[in-house]
Amino acid sequence: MAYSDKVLDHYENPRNVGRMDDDDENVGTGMVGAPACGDVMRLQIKVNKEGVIEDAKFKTYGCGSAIASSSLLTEWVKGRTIDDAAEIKNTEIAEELGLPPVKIHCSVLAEDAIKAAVSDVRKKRGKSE
Amino acid sequence: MSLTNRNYFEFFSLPKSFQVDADTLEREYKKLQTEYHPDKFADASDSERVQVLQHASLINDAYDTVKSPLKRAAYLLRLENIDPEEHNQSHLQEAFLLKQIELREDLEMLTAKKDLDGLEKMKGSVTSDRNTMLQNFEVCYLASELIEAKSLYNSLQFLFKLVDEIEAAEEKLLDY
Repeated sequence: MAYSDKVLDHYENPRNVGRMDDDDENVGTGMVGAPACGDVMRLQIKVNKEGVIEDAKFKTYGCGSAIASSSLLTEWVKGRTIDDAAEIKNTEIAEELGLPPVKIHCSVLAEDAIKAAVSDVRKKRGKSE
Repeated sequence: MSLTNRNYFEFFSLPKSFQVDADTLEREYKKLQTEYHPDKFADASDSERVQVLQHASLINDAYDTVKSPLKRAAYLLRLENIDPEEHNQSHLQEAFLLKQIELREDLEMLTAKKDLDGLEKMKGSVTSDRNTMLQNFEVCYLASELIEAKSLYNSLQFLFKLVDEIEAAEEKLLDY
């Protein structure tokens, strides 16, 4: 199955790969996995006092679509508020990347990851939902 | 013998269990392969031959499923009406996922350093974790703790994939 140009671009030049200090209370970490394909994804966001995401990093072990979904997501969330970011839907990611039906679960994984990261930073700040 | 309406264990005269007697499986598989060999049906009608082919394919699928511990675990869950592939993050522990990322980082590093001994050591350690987890799966399955058994199955999927990846990295270094 051929990957779309956008997936290839993110796969070959992934944006914002790396890690942030999980002990920093302004950093939220989302760890998610997809058992069926063995993919693991770590997504981290750095949030300022106004609740705006200033930086985002990811590390994904998985297929091209999973890497592209998380890479795209880190670009999208920067500059958004955490409330906004938690509203991002996997369908938006899948549509932007042109993911075929069998790869939709990769975008679901990315949505799960940002939600987990947002809820982690809220928990750290004592505003757990 | 009709194969429909039988579970895969029954194909091989085995009890529905996570423990499988390998000798019985091999012996019964060979018997079935002979019984449903397409050559034996060379003179049969088209529809009979199609049916024999379908049976042969079903037998192979059953054999693969019962032989592989991971596929067998998934199949046992299905027989209990649990969908082993149902996607749910809450079935995975964060600490487990963190460890999975670390292990894959180790694998990357060992591959980059062409450290064959390190890879072999890592394979030993992951395989041992995997075997412990397989035992835990059986304990949960026997105790009918199926939610926990499914969670262990999902964790096992990562470990089986990781062992495959370590082996692929080793083979690449050895230039197979």
